[in-house]
Amino acid sequence: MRLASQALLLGLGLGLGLGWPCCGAAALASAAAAASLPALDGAMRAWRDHHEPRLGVEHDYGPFVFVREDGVVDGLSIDMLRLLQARTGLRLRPLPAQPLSALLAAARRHELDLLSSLRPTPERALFLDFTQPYVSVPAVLVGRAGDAPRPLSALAGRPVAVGQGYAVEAVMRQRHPQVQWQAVPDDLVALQGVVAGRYSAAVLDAASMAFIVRRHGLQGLALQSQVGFDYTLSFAVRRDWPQLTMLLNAGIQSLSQAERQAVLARWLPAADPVPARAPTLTRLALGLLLLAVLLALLPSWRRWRAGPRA
Amino acid sequence: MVDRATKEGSPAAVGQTTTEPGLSLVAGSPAAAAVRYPLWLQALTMGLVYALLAWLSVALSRQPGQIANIWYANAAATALLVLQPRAHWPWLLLTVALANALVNSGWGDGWVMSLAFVPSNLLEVALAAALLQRAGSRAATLNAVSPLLRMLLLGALLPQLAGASLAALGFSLLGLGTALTMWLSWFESSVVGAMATLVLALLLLDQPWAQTRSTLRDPRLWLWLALSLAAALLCLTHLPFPFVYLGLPLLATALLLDLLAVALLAWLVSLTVAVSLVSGAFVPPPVTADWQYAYVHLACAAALVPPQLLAAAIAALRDSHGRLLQRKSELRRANEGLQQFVRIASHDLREPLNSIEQFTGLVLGDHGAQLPEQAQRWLGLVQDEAQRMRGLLDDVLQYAQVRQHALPAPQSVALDDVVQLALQRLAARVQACAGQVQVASPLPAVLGDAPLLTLVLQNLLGNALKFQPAGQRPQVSVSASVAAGWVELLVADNGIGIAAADSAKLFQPFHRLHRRAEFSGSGLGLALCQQIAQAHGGSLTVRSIPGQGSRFSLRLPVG
Repeated sequence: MRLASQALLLGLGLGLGLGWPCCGAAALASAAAAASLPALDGAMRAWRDHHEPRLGVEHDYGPFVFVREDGVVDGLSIDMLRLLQARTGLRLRPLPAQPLSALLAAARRHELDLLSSLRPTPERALFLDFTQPYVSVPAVLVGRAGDAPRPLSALAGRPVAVGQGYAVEAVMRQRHPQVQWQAVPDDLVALQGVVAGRYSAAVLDAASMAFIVRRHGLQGLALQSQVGFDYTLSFAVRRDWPQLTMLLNAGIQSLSQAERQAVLARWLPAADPVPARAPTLTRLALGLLLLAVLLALLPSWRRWRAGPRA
Repeated sequence: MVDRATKEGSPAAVGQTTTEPGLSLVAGSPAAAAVRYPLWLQALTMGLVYALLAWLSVALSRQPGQIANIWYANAAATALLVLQPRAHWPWLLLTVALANALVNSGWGDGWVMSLAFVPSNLLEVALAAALLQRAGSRAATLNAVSPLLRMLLLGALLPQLAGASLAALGFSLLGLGTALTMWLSWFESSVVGAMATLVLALLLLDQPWAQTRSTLRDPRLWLWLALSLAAALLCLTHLPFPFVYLGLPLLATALLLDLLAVALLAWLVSLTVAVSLVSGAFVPPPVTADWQYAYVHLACAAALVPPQLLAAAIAALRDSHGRLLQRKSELRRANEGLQQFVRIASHDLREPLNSIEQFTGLVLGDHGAQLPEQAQRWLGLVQDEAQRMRGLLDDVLQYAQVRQHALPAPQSVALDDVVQLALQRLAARVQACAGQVQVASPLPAVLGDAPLLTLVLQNLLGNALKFQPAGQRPQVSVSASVAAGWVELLVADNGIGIAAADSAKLFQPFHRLHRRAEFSGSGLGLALCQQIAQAHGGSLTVRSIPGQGSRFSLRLPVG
């Protein structure tokens, strides 16, 4: 009885570990089945019909939002917004593209109403409201090809580039104050600086890195490690317009998993390599799991060995 | 082998080393061993332990000018201080202050900042130790939920509130940070550290080392340690809400192992959280206000406390179960003694009684005429008493058998047959007293054991015939009614009746309401009847008015 209860508990523990992928698949399937048009009440429809929010777009934050060579604004977030417009009937008025720091300053002055591709931070939350996230990508450390992979803690005193005003900037400065952080206008400048040798490395999200390398044909760069920060991106709305946040959230919730996946697959190709999160700790955890299984089997093995002699 | 008194939570009952009035140390515990050393050596040890844990906290999660995410050192110092006499506290707290300032300074803080940390830490440690000492929180008391909760409240929550408040006030006055941010950071790091460390530290210091060694040698501890740390690492590095899952392996451990094992695992899991935070493996969820950061980490404390409470609750249950088993064993031994006595009484005592009765009868029969009249009367008395004693032995045996043996599987029993059989056995007595017994036939059937029910009816009818005023002709009626699945069998008589005050004593074994000279009997008959009724799931009650007779009501399930 006691052995049975232990085996049951061990099974539960292992099931917890090994059952994640199955649970995830089931959740995705149910989410896809649940997609439908959002139900907007009269007040929300009236607000939508009388407003045309001004959309601030970043000039070069590919693949999320950027200006193509032909001058058209494009990107994952723009595709997502188009889907939401189709779902909710929302009309938007895009403004000329600017760097993020300029967009944030404009939002603070109420010169624009909606921003895309932003991670919530306490500083931004002072003047912006955030929708639920629509995409999540890890931030990575990018160095020169040929350099030995190093964590950020090994770059004490070395210049490392990071986008000015980006959500990751404050977190990195707080976690790794020993690094000589260099704030740059955007990720392209950061990567170009790494190629030119001005910076030892740069911190940016993995999707942007892959996009910029492809678009600008940058050579000599290599992903080194994840830095422990995920870009969980949302749309940001001026705080005094909660109706717009609700409208966008209703649209996001109505998207089916297949629709969402189609947008992500267009802009985040699976072929782009991203270093695994915490590979050392993950290997350590799997080793411990194996040790636990061996320890659980040890009494049975002893009994099996002792059995024939008895 | 654990001292039972220790398990029962009474340090006063355990072998103790006393250092001062009101503070006693458990013999065999590290704290008791330490009192042999001079105060300076104890203070030095405390300083080193504090510095080591403080360094661990800052190395894992702190940058210059900030607060560590998890602060272990104060809880360990609290546990050490609780076991020390108050006279030693100033020196020990001075050591804590020095260790605290040195570690912060060594990590890159200026002297002002380093010293600014000291008063709040000292307040936290001293307040926690004073509250715990006053409440009598010791390792031996922790194997129950209530004392453990009290200890966590007094040692891991209230002092942290005070410490965080003092720190927020001091740092904002010195211009070293904003009050709310400082308060939240201090509070969450201190609470998480204390919740993870305090129980473990107190158990390691205050319980006999033999008990600790026994826990550490249990191979299951290492199995669950590996599983808990693996689960913690995987959850923290790959799952969106990892703290929810941290407690699951600990809860499983609480079901199998003792509180020390759970406390040790809880501490190691908290250490894993700190490692994951500093390495960037754990990605905190996005927050939209600074104060929300505090609640990200407080979730860790919320995951670590319930397993410790569960372990304490299970320890209390195991302790209670052990005491019940011991009591059951004592009762079984006592019961075996009683059974042996019943066997002796029923068999071994009956033999000499039979001989006395037989030979007295022979003497009276064969030689009675030759004996003087007084000798004949005395021998008659001997014969009567021998017969009475045999009847008494039979009643005792029956009573003991009904108490000790389960009933056979119940069957449908016709009460008509039972009453007729009982009347047949009492036929001589009915005839002798010229009694009149009326039975309202047909009587319903009941579920039960026919021989035992016959015994009940025989006793009830026998009593109805026996307890009569001198010279009165007994009139007894037997009737029954059925309601809601139960049969109520009434045996009414016109006898002497029973006073209301005596009704409660009526069913007690060996309790007689009358002198033997008035009415014979063992005093076991009605006790036996009630025993049998209850064994059938029913009951036996009486309503009576002195001088007007009695009505016994036997309630049994319908057959």
